[in-house]
Amino acid sequence: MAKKKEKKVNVSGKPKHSLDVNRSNDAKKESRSAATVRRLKMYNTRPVRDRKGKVLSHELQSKELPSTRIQPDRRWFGNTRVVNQKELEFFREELQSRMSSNYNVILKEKKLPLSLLNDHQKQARVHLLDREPFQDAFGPKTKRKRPSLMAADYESLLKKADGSQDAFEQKYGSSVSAEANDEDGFRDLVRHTMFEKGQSKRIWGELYKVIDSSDVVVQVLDARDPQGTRCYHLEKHLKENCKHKHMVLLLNKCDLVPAWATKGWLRVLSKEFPTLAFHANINKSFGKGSLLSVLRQFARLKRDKQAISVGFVGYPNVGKSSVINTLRTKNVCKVAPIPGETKVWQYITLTKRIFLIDCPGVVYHNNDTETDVVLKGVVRVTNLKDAADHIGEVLKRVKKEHLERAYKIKEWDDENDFLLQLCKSSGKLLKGGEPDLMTAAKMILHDWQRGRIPFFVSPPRVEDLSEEPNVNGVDLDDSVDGNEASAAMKAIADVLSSQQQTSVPVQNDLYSENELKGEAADQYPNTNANEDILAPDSNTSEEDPTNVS
Amino acid sequence: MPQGDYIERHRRDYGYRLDHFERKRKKEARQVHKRSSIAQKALGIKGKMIAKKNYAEKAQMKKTLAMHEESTSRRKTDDNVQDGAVPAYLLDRDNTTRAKVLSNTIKQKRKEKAGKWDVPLPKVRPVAEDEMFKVVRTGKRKTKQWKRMVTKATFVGPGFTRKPPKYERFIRPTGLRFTKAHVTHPELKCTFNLELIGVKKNPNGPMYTSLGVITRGTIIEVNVSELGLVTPAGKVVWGKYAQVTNNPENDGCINAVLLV
Repeated sequence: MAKKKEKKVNVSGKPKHSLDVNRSNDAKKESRSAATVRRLKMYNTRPVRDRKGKVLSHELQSKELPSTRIQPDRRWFGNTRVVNQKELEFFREELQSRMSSNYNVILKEKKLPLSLLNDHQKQARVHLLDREPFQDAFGPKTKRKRPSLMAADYESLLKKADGSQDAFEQKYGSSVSAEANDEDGFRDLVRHTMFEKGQSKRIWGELYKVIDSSDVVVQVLDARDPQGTRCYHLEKHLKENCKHKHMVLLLNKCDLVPAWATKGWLRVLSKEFPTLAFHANINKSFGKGSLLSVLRQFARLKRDKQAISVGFVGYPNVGKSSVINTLRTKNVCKVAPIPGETKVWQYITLTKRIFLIDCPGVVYHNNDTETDVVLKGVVRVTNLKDAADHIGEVLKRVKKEHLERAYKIKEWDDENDFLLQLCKSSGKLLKGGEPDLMTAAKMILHDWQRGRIPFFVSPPRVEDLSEEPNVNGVDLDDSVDGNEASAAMKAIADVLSSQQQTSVPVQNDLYSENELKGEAADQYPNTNANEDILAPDSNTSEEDPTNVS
Repeated sequence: MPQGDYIERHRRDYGYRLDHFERKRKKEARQVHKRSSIAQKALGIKGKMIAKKNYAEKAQMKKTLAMHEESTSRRKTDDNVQDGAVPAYLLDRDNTTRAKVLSNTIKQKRKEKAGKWDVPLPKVRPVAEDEMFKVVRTGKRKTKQWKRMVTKATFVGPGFTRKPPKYERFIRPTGLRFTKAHVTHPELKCTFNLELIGVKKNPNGPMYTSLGVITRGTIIEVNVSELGLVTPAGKVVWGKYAQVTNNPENDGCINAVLLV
């Protein structure tokens, strides 16, 4: 009853008006198809009412009761899916070799007996008879007189409990210090609600809606701090519950970090997921062609579907909406250099077969301090009431020469002295010549968020110095690839490889010549000519991961 | 003395009226039309009672006619028996045709067949469309009313992705999606928590089957790898049908009986 056919009054195939369903489905014509016209008429369906306003009929809201009899049939009682032993062995071997990498895809998981291939942990049995056989406890040849307990008497139980307590205290040493803090009579302060940005139920509801509607999930990371802006909970959720969705990492803002740092992060992150570098700018973008190629390959991978949806998720203020604007080459999403501009999910059409979904920034609840939250750009700086408390960390993470160039301040003793000098030089004074530390601190945090103060986290040092791109699990043998799916995945790997070879653009004024070549110099520590330049670079690069962790 | 007795005594003493029997015959002939007219004109509960009585009478008449027709198949054979064709000790027995026996066999087989392949719940309470779907109003002024939210439990499968909002008419909430069912084996009398593979048939209609809606009486396909079933040919069985026996949207879980 839901799919009633319209009565055929006009049978010639020529539509009388733009919403006439009786039309041919000739693809050569540039007009609408019959399915499109049917869908457009569906948008205007309303309940049919009589003169007094009572609803007479509404589509799909009928009160008519259907017939619910199930015909007796012998096919209800048979087996629906049967698999051979040889096929099981074949599937198990193939699955072991293929599923270990993130670049292989199972196209039709429903046809495979996956539960027979994998061994579940809950099927592990309780080995009672291995511990004590039946005849030892019962029967004529019994040996056991008493049940075997953990402790024979009260004193041995006490000793066992003390031993467990000591082992626990050694294992969790940090909790001892926490207990010491409790003994002092102090408690941790209750956090302000602004530091819980991106963790509310509404925001995570939007995230799960986006994930539910996406075939490909693009996680946008900040190239200055890729590991800090990752959402590990989301990646775990996709791996466990949504195996058919693909995750792609996108390193945005790659113009704010040196090229060697970007390439290092690409090399590290490509081991887990396909990773691309990106610079979100409508006129001068980097990585747009690569990202479009990857999305087209995913659309080709899911050719059985009419269209695919790509969801952009990540931390607040990493540039998700800017990436979408760059792909569309115009402003389709509202963007701003402050976190929290995107509030609900937005659906954008990229091509006829690719849709983009914008998502508000989500933050998983972890043990970040307030300074970490502020420096990641989650909180709006204008709302901070104690902005001066976070400047010390900024001074630690940024090199001295960058601060000198940005603020024209040569020497300072500590963060307070730095703020005092900045207030004087920029004129941020209160009545009576009192320096306004709050406003100066907010200025610094604004510059930090918007990239005017250069800062980045160095990638972990790779022992293998080979420049070959690391794309796991993809066979480069062309003769083996007869499947279209593997061809699509191979094309994606080729896009990743070619982008790793390409030079990454960097902004001109941010870094000096030595910093741009810092990684290359670090790779050759035996050269004595560069030894003087090496020392400050290596010290600074070693300090940064420590500070972040 | 009652009045009927006076009439009876008068008829006994002086005889019947001359056209009595003709008038009685004609009245009985017209009785059929009179009763038909009454049955058509009666309204309300009186009409229902008359219809019920007429139906019972008609059914009884049909049974009587069938009984008489059935008894003709048990007629004795009149043909002559040749000498020596039947042994001497069987000559006293009357021969009967085998039509009755054959009809008994066919009836028994049909009854066996009907009962054997019945599902545990052959008929369940129907669910109308206004109970199954809820109208979702969208748009800036909430005037678009073409979307429907499914209010029953659903199964969407492992490769499911929601459609774009302009193409998605039926919204299946994530809170009402199920991936597992509690399946009871009727002979082993034990219950397993098995994964769902698909929805085979929803008794309320094929549209709900394609949407994956699970109501009471739905035939679902479950993954029976944990049961360790094998066919006589040695193959491993990992898919079987089960029928849902509870209301999943109220209970929050799916209880089913395995069809074996």
